[in-house]
Amino acid sequence: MESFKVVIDGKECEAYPGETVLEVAERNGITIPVFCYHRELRPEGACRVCLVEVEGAPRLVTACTLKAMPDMVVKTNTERVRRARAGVIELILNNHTLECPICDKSGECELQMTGFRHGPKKSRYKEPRREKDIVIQGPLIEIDNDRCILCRRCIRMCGENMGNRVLGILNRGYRAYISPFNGDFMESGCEHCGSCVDVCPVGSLLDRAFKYKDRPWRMDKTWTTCLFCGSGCKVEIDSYHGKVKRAVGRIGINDGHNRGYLCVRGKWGWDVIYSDKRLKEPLLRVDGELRRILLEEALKVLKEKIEGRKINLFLESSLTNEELEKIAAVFGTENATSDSLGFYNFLKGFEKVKGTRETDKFSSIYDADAVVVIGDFIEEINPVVSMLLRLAVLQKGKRLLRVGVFPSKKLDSVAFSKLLVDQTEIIDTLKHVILGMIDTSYSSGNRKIDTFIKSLRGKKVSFVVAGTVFFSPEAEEIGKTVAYLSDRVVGGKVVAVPPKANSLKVVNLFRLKHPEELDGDVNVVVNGELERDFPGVELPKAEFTVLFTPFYTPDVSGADLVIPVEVWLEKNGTVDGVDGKLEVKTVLEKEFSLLEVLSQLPVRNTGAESKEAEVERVNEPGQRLLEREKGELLLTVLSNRTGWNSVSYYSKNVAGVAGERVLLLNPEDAPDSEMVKLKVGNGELLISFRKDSSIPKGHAVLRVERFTRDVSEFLRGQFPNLSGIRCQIAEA
Amino acid sequence: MMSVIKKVALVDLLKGMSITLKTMFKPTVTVHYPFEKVPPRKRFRGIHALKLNPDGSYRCEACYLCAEMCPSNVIDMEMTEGKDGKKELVDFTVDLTRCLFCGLCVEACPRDAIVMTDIYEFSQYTVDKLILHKKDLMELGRYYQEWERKRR
Ligand code: SF4
Ligand code: SF4
Ligand code: SF4
Ligand code: SF4
Ligand code: SF4
Ligand code: FES
Repeated sequence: MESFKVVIDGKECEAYPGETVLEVAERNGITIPVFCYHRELRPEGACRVCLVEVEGAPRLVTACTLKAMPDMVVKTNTERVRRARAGVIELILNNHTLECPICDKSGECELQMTGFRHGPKKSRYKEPRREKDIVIQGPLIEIDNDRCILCRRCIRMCGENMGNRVLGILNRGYRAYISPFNGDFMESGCEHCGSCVDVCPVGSLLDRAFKYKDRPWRMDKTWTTCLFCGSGCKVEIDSYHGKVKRAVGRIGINDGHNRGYLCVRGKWGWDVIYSDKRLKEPLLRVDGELRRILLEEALKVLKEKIEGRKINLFLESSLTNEELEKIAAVFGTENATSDSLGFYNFLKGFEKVKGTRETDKFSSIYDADAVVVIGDFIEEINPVVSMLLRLAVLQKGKRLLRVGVFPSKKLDSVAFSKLLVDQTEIIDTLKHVILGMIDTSYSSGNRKIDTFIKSLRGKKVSFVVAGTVFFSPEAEEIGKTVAYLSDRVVGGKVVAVPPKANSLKVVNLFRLKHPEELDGDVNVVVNGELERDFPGVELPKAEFTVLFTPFYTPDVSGADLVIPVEVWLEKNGTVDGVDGKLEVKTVLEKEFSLLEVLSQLPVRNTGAESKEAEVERVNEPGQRLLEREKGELLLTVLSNRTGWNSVSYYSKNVAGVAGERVLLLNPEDAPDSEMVKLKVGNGELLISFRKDSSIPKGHAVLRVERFTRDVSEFLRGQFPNLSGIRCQIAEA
Repeated sequence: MMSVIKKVALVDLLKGMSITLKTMFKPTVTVHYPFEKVPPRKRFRGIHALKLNPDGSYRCEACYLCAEMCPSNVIDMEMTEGKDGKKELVDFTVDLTRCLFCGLCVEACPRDAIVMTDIYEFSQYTVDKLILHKKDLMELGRYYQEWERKRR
């Protein structure tokens, strides 16, 4: 782009078309105070504190909305500007409570800072201060309207960036205040991403879990990586004297790929460390009963039991690289299974066509002109990824195209085009697109597909694969198809967002098998919960079962030896995320450490070095595998956003906003009764349902907050599938 | 020669004794501490106290400014949200082993909650007793307010 010159405060600055004066100044190290401007938000010009003088303009202009023009001469620090600024701040402060000593924002409050630097030295206001005294309390967020300066950052963040439209201004003028539209966060559809709290410049929007808990400036701030899902968001954990007080994303400051956006799990799930279900000491089964023992004794038993035995390894994929490498050394890599098996299948298919398992980084979303998103319920599994995709459209003007089964609240409203098809036809649809990309005169016979193809032609395309795709029986075939398709478009980068934080390392380090193929003598479950990570799987018969877990999981009752470990907030290490190595850091003390326990076990020298078998290459897209007989539905079992990784089960904060367990059915598929009986193979589940016209005909979505025993039993034999499960439905 | 006469006549001794003789008939100024005590000056800076409201609750709002101001890291506090939704002080510790009694904490307090009493005798047999907690400080607050009332 052609750049041009503007002069700000006598300094010649380079500017690009479309940039505002404020952005140019910021880049050149000239500070202009702001309240309503935020770099992640659409500028609005509501607060008037950014006034600057422009040569030739009769009045002062707001720098945040003023587009830079060639040869503009701007002054940000004249007497006139300073007085106007101080006036604006004086007016804001007139009715501000100034209760900084108890305000949780104090120390990082923009009003405090800007007022101090640019405000008037004293107030001329003699009237009694207006007291709105309107405090709105949600389960995790509180709005103290006396502190609000009506900058509308929260409204823009929630409505435009998040697409939720929860917050708004009620009343007008003097009585205006911020509130969720019907006064209640939950009912207004708040997803508790915490972004509004993050961008509020003052202490009006509060994190209730942090309310009055500490002072912002005195805490230890540690940048780490959230390991609650594969998005791997960078997050700041604040702690004082070794106790975590809050997690903050710092939107606009955070340099991670998530740019500070978090979801409810990353923002509020940190209190899993203080869960009352934490395991405090090792347990050993003696005469059929679990007894507390010392760690040294546990280690002795463990050494004895695994010596010379073949291990059935059950891995949950939120462990760090260091831990996984140690696990590989101690337990071997050949006889393992993991909750990332579906993701592994996808990559296997991908590799068969591409010859490599390497996928691309998040930044390839921004390099492309068009982004094709394949997969459903990304906003539940990797919420921040769906936000980033949304923002790629809103902020960077990318073309977003969706291929999937279910509508998405977050993405559909910004999607340029979407192909929502029956789940059995996903692969065929992608094949149409492939043909369309190869042959410009191709016609699929379906107008929708044809326009979809047309909007991709000649564009630089990146693909994002995420969500339920990895839990589909067709994961491998979709992997092939996406790989094949990506080779036939310009650009053709593929971002595969793993379901769990370190799925990538697990699939690269271990040779994963289906649990039924495990043939060892001793079961070792690391960090996992059978019902959650391996729904429908039963532990193989074995001499001995060892469980490494931070919590009292339901599996404890079936284990012979249980060794407590730490949760990710207490770990140091790295994980392999989409964007390469991500750092996990902590300043917390821990009682038990997986790494320490493992390093006291003897290293095995069997198999660990054996290379991954060469995959046979194919040069064609995948085959459709899913079929459905008449009267059958394709079931997707979906963990709610709050329940993914059992966060709502262990975190008190998140439990307060947990979702429900419900079956969603298309009205045409729904029976007249109140409850239905779902049948999958031999499994049955009695459950209440809701008619939902957004669910396409022939599909059903079972939303669960937690994979409990009945759900797991219902899904017997389905692992690793959670989507595209053929089921029958009967009135009950 | 002169020096011999001086020695014989005990000039030096008499010179010295003259002070003794002079003060012998004046009232004594020595204080028999610890049986007697000097009342401290009005602005003396003894150990800390947390002032109380008329209803017996503490005035401190746990803003941490005193601790922030303190040059030697004496003060620490823990806070939380109370049952009534107000800010609650869980604990307030003053580590007297490190304090320099500079009084900066008192200056910093926006609520006039932390004050310094006239107590200067606080030696203890163990170090941990030199760390005052919220309860001790409130007790001292009661003492302080009594003392303040009397002083007026
Ligand atoms: S919002 Fe800022 S200025 Fe207002 S009371 Fe809180 S810290 Fe003080
Ligand atoms: S937490 Fe997120 S969804 Fe809820 S009101 Fe704030 S921005 Fe909107
Ligand atoms: S609540 Fe905060 S972000 Fe929202 S308008 Fe008020 S000051 Fe601005
Ligand atoms: S999207 Fe995933 S990684 Fe990011 S904050 Fe949420 S749970 Fe954590
Ligand atoms: S008197 Fe001085 S050293 Fe002692 S607590 Fe107060 S500020 Fe700290
Ligand atoms: S920052 Fe420009 S008007 Fe508010």
